[in-house]
Amino acid sequence: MTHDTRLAEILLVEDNEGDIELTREAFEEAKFRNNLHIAEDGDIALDYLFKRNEYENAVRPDIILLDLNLPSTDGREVLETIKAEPSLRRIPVIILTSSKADKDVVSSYDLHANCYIVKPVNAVKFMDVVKSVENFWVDIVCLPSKAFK
Amino acid sequence: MTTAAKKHRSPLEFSVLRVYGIFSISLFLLIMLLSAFVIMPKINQLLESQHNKDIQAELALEAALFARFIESQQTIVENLAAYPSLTSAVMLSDASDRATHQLLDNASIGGKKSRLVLQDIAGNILIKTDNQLQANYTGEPLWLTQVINSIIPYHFQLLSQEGPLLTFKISVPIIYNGHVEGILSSEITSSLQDIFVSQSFNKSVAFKLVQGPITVSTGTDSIELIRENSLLLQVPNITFTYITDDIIINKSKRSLQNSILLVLLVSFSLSFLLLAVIGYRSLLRRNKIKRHQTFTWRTYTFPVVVGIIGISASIAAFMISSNIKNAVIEKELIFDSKQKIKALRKNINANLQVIDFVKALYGASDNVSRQDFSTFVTPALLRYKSIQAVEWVPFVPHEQRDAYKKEAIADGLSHFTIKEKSSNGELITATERDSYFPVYYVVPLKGNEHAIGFDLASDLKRLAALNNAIAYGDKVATARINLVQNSVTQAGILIFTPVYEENSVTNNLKQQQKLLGFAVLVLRISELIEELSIEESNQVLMHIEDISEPDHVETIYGLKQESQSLSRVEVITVANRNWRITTYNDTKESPSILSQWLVLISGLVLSGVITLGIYSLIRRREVVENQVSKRTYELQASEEQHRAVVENAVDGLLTIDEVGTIEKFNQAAQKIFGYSPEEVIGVNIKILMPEPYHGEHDGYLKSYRDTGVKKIIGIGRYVEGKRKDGTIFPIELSVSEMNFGSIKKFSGIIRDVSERVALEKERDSFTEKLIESEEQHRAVVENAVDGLLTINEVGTIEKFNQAAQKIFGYSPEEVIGVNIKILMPEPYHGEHDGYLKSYRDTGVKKIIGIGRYVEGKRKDGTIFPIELSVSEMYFGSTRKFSGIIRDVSARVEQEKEREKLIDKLTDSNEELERFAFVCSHDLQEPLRMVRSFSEKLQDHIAESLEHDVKGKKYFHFVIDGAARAQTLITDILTYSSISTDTQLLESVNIVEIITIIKSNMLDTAENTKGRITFDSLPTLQGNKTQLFQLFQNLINNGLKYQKPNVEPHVHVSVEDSDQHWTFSIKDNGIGMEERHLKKIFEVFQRLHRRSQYAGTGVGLSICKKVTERHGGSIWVESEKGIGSTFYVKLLKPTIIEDIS
Repeated sequence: MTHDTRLAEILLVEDNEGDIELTREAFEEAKFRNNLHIAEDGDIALDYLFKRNEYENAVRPDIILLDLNLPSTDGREVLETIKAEPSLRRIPVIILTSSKADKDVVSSYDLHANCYIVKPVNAVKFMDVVKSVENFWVDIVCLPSKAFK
Repeated sequence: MTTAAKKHRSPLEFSVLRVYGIFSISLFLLIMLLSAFVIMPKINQLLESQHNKDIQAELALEAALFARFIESQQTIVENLAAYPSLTSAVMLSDASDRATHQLLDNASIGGKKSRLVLQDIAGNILIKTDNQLQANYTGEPLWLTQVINSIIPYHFQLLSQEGPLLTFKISVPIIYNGHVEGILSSEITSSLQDIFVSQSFNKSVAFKLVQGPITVSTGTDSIELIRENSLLLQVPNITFTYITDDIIINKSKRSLQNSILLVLLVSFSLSFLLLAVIGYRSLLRRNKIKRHQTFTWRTYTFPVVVGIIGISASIAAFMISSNIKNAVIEKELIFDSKQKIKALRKNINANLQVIDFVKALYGASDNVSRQDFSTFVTPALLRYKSIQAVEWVPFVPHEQRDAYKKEAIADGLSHFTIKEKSSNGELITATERDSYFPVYYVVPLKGNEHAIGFDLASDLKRLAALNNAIAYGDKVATARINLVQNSVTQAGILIFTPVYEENSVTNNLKQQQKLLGFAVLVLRISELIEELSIEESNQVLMHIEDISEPDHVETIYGLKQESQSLSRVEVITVANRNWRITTYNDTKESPSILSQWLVLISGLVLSGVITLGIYSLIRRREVVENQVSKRTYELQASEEQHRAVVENAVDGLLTIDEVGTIEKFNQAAQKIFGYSPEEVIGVNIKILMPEPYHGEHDGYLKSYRDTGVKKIIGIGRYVEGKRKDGTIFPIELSVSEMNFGSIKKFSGIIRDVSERVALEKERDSFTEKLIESEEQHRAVVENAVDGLLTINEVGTIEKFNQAAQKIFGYSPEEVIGVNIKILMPEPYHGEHDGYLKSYRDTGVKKIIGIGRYVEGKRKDGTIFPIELSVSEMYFGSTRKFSGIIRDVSARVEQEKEREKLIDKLTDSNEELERFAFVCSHDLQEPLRMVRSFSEKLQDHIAESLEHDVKGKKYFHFVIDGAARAQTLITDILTYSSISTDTQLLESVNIVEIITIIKSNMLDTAENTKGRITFDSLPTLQGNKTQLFQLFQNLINNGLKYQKPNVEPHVHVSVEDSDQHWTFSIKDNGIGMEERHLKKIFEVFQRLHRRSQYAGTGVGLSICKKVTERHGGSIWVESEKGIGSTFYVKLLKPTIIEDIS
């Protein structure tokens, strides 16, 4: 595959250590070669994306996995900010959250989220979902980051 | 001046100019009018007098010409008289000399054979060349004596006129040695045209000569209006009359008058029209330009002037038409007059012919019997009705008296005797005289019997006529004689003609002896005129006077003309008497007088109508403007009331413009908001609004302007207001929209719902400065969303605005003047009169100035809740009440709904809380299992895990997760227990609580560091457990969120305000960004990662709930990196007791 030449850059915005661990393991299990960047809250995610503070040399992610319930600036605000910023809005944002509330689903899509995934309670299923995400968004979908760089 | 400049002239200036213009025009016209009436008669007078002078001059000239003619004739005769043969003949009284005869016979005077008479000094006729002499030369006539005695130089005598020929006599003395020795007389017949030369080329002049009874005149047929100017010529002793035609001068007078009047009429009519047009246009213009002009006398100048001019023009037109009419009348009169006089003359001449026939009868037969006479005369009598009788009056010498009597008796007149009139008027037998002239034959006898035998010579009038007839030898009429026939007296004349034995008259001396008698004609004048054959249309009246004796003018016929109107005078000669005939129109029967009066009346009516029209136009405008000012006055009065309503309203009233700038701010609004008008007028209304209204208002106004979508206009709703001191309070707001032309304004009525009680205070002063205009006030009242009504002292409704109409369903006509009770259900209905009365008597107020909830009754009888505020107003001594009414049925309904909803919510909340409590409690169980056994399992497989990094990590996640779930459940349990806790209130010493927290902290391993300080703190009333949780959470937070390497410090202090304690818990921790300050009090909201600071995000939610449960509030102020201060505001103990 053509994109084997370069590692996929993934930004995971997640405050739950367990979920971070599960995600990381899912990627490892899928033998998916990537650079996983973790942002533990909204403020860090935004700093990373806008290359502020200690993230001056941060790599622009190819996709963003975003939890909604975050301390301080929460996922919704982060999503809104990304989609409002012309230089960032082409990055696919996959909402990965434990909330099943319709309100959250609708408002996320209203804010131009690219897709919305509810975290499965079961660890195995969780890993499957993460793998599917990787498969779909990295292998199947053609992303602009590949065309313009 | 340009047109534009004229247009810009001020209306007042224009009106003054107009008034002066009208004045000058009318003055000019008046001057013209006056001069026309003064100058015109003057011109007439001048014309008349000039005419008179001319006539006098012409008269003198003509008279001189005539005198010269006579003189020339006299000279001829004188020359003849100078012949010596004549002188010698007279001196010798012998005319036997043939030469002398020949001389006189051959002498020719005036181209004709002369008729000459030569007399000696004694009067004896020596020679007469002609036998047909007319003058009397015998019996020593006066002229003879006068000439002989040289009293007059010669004698001129008119003799007769026959058609155009005049016969006169000139007698000159024959002088020898300065002594008169004889007289030569010449009777000359001459053509009148030769004498009066001027008449032959001027038909409108005529001449008349009068000498004694003889009158000679030239024809006046062509003269319309005869005017006689006479001159007495001394030498020929003759009255010379020059006759002119007045019609000429009348015509010229009239045409002059007419042209002046025509000019006047035209100028009057033009100026009348001009003024009418100007006046009408100016009236129109004044209608357009509305002016507040007072009506003075000047306003009415215009119609008055128009009226005067109209009247003047009418008079002028009247005069012109009168003149024309008069000319026509004059022409008609002249025609009629001439026609009538001509007919009269003809008739008289025909009558006179009868007497000539009688004379001829006597000339033809020697003896005329009574029967012959009657036979001869009767046909004439039948023909001429005016002839009363024809008589034969013989000359009876005394010696034949008896013979005549006998003959008469023989003829059948048995009582015949010669009679005379006694001094007392009775007929008696005549006394003895030399001769008698008795009436001998009379035809018809019937009716004239009394005349038989009457001696005409015994009556002076008749005798005079007899003598004249003898003198002239011709027909002579008497003066007027009263004829008595059938006992009716009427005017008449007698005409005598002498009858001689011989037909030829040669010598007058012998004539008397040969006189047989007189034929006498008795004429009735009235019938003479009445039987005239003239056209029926000829209605002129005649007045005939006998002017033969200038000293004794006697009316013969008709009545003297009474008025000074037009008349025509002509003098005719009837049997040697002069009759002056005045013809005039019968004024009573004057038929054609109508037309000129019609002109005058229609002119007057027209000008009257136009004047009245203009007057009524002005009058109507005046009335209208009076009404306008009256209405304005009334409106001002009602405006005062409106103003009073607005200013005294319990509710706040304010007006803003389209962009929200405050324009009005009434007293109540000032009280409600705490601003003075100076502070807010001109400021945007947002100043009175807290968030979010403050931020939204501009957008709302804009959207309303752009889209017209109303949010609160005309609706009324609850919003929040912000006082000057910053406090926010609930208000009830109703907004209405007002349009002043293109300007849009909004008025709001504001009611402070929270503190209604504070509204009543002194508001009796009506002298507040009122800036607002009347229209705005009215609009505020009329457009108000709330009902506004005004009643008087006894409760009669005087005002009822639109909103009130909508609320109650009554139209203003139905309720104004009706007692306000109509709008009240029981018990208010019954109580209201008593309440008003008690207020009047005692002054105890029940609702005035307060505002309260009562009930109203609609027209359809439904009862509904209203919020009523009443205020009192004084207008002088009159007291009125105004009420603002708000239909709160909808609100009451809403409140009920809300209460229901709240109940429902409370129920479901309680259920949820119970559920949460149960859940969390039951959840503890399985969690404890997970945690306990995973710890156990970890111990159990500790060895195998020693090198298994992943396994260790997994265990960590399991145990940590379970632990967190436990903490979370504990916190949720605490949170939900706050609302379920129904413990009683107790005294809680905050110092005690903080001391416990301090010691707890020291026990806890994590919080070994940190300092807690506090000021003196109060004791509160409340739930001790909850308050402990509150302070513990806050203090722990302060210690927990700390910067590394800084000793945490939390300080607790309190601020004592009137009703509250405000605690502040201040730390020197990490602080927060402002955007998080509100969020942190929400459940599960966290600002930090668990790896940084542990926690569930419930702690502050618990704090908030506790505070609210205690009727207080909590908020935080913070600065990132410096620290945060949490504030807890709690009610003081007494109030807390009230809440319980």
